[in-house]
Amino acid sequence: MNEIEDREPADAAAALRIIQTQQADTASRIGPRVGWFFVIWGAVWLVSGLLYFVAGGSVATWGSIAAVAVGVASSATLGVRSGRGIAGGSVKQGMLYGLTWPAVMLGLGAIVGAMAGPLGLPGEALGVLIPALFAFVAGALYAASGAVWTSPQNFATGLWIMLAAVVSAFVGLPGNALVLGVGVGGALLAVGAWELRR
Amino acid sequence: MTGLPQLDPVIHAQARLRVTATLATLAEGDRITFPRLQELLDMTAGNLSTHLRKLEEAEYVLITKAHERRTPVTYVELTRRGRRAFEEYTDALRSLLGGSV
Repeated sequence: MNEIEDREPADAAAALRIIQTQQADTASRIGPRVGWFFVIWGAVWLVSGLLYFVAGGSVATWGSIAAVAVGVASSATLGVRSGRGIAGGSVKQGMLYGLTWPAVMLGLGAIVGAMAGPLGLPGEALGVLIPALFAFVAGALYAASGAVWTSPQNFATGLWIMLAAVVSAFVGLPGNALVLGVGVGGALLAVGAWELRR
Repeated sequence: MTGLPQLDPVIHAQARLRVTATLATLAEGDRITFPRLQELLDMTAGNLSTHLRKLEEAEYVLITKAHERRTPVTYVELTRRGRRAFEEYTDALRSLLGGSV
């Protein structure tokens, strides 16, 4: 193997082929498969949205909690595995961005939890406001990732999710759940599937 | 007419070309552990060490040893000089192919 591999490539075209094959293989094995994050969270939004639209009540609440828990666990596993054996600026950047998500979502949850009572809003209003807030913030984070990693596709997905969040607030119950489930979940699933097929 | 560009002999060997191409795929400033690099290249440790030594002699790669949780870890990264050499090498290949790729 050593002798063969120490040989010069047959010609310039062969050398270029070696480079292209090696770089494509490496890129697909070291980078996070971003498509999976989209598919996972697309499924979470779709399942939650449909549960709230069709069933509602405690079935929807517990079903959504379970879906989010699966989403968090699988995203964390994916994120940790992707940077295996690599250190440096880009890994740190990805890790810090990844940690932004739970920090933002937990913080938002705490604010909502603290203010829901004092605001004195009826349950129906909260049922529209809370999911819209979470979707809007998620959209902003996707858009920001598009800006940071120069991905127009992530940026556009983020803006689309923000739009779906705004629309859901105007639609009100129970249609807001369908708008978020299909609008956010469907978009994420479509982008994820496209990304994984590339 | 200008002459055909010379291909850098340090990179112009199948194994070292694969090593360099793999390291160049990492973002600038990132480094990779020796075992992970070995896994990506599917090379034996001895074979990879031999080629890394040649690349290190040319100052194309930087090999650093660190301790993580008391375990020694060897990191490999492309130096700025190595990255530039790789870019010049691929440019030379393209001009040899008449700019058709």
